Amino acid sequence: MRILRFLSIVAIVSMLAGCYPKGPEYVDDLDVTFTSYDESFNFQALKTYAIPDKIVIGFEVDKTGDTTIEYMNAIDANKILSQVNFNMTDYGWTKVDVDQNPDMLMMLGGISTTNYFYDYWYNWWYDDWYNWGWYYPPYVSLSSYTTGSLITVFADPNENNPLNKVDPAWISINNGILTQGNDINRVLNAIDQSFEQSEYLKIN
Amino acid sequence: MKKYLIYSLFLLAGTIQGQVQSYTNISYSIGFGIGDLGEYVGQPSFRGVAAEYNVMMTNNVGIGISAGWNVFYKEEDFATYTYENKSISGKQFRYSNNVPLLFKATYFFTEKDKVQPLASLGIGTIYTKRDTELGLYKVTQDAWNFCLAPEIGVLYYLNPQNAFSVSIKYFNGFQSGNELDESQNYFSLNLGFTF
Repeated sequence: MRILRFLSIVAIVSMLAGCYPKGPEYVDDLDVTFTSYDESFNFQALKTYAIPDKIVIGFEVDKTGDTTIEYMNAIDANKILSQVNFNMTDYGWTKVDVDQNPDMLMMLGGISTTNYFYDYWYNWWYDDWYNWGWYYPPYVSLSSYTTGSLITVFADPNENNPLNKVDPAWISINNGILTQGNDINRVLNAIDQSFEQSEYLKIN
Repeated sequence: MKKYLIYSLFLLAGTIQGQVQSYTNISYSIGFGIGDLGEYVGQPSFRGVAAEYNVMMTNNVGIGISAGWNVFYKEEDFATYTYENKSISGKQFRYSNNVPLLFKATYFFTEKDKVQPLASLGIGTIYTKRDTELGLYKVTQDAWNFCLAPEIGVLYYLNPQNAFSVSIKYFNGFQSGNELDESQNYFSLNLGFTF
């Protein structure tokens, strides 16, 4: 009888363990969009922004300190940048060239592996794209982000402080969307979501 | 005198041992969260099990121990959660594992018959582990709640040793600790077999 009792309990617990909820079933169930903004920043007083035409997804620094930069393929990068520009236009912003003294800068980066991105964020923006004497990109306290995140930073390059670094006025992280499956629509939807939950960017 | 006392104790123990009746009950448990737990999951749990072992002290009163496991789960729709200047969007997957561990006393309203209604009160603890997943991130909160668990039910005997059981229990897990700052309460409908 004791054996019967013991086996009954084992059988039922095993059945329960077998039907334990499995959680996410599809890869897009894991997509997360995070946004944050500086509450003291007055977006309404600004109008123009500049954005580069490439998206960095990797980098390597050799022993001499030279940085090799890897860019996202142009087809996907153009779609992503177009989606960002579409949302910015919809919110009333005017895109200008970087040499037209924009009020704000929009900067995008993709992370393919878990990384501490910040240290090199500065280098590639400063050396490769905006070599105009401004000390930036903005100081972003990024810790590690996992595979396939698109990071977008919106910052005022004219802002000065004693460290010659500026905090981002807005940051968006679309986590889990840059995957080997490469469903670009997931990325575009995630960008739309970033703006949808950031209506304070709207200036029109 | 001391010798007689020891003899008496052995005699009493032997008498109890010879007369002891016990039973085990295994049941499938359907949970219905209420209060904080109900707000968190919002739907019944069909993943649950309970087991108990009781010793009859008289024809109408039994005492024993019981343990269970109820898994509450809910997949939230895609939503945006805002806190101060931060917003995060995604699908939440919510899990609450509730494991009651109780001492219990049971009163049978009739002596053993074809149908035997009962009421019991359990006292002990519920271990609650709540996992909230969002993307690749997970927040875990847990607590050991002091628990009172009244129950009403009925046994339907197939023969003198075996019976089907149906009961409704209410688990009141009182607030405990800092992570889950509200009591964790739920009803369960238990369908079981006694042997």
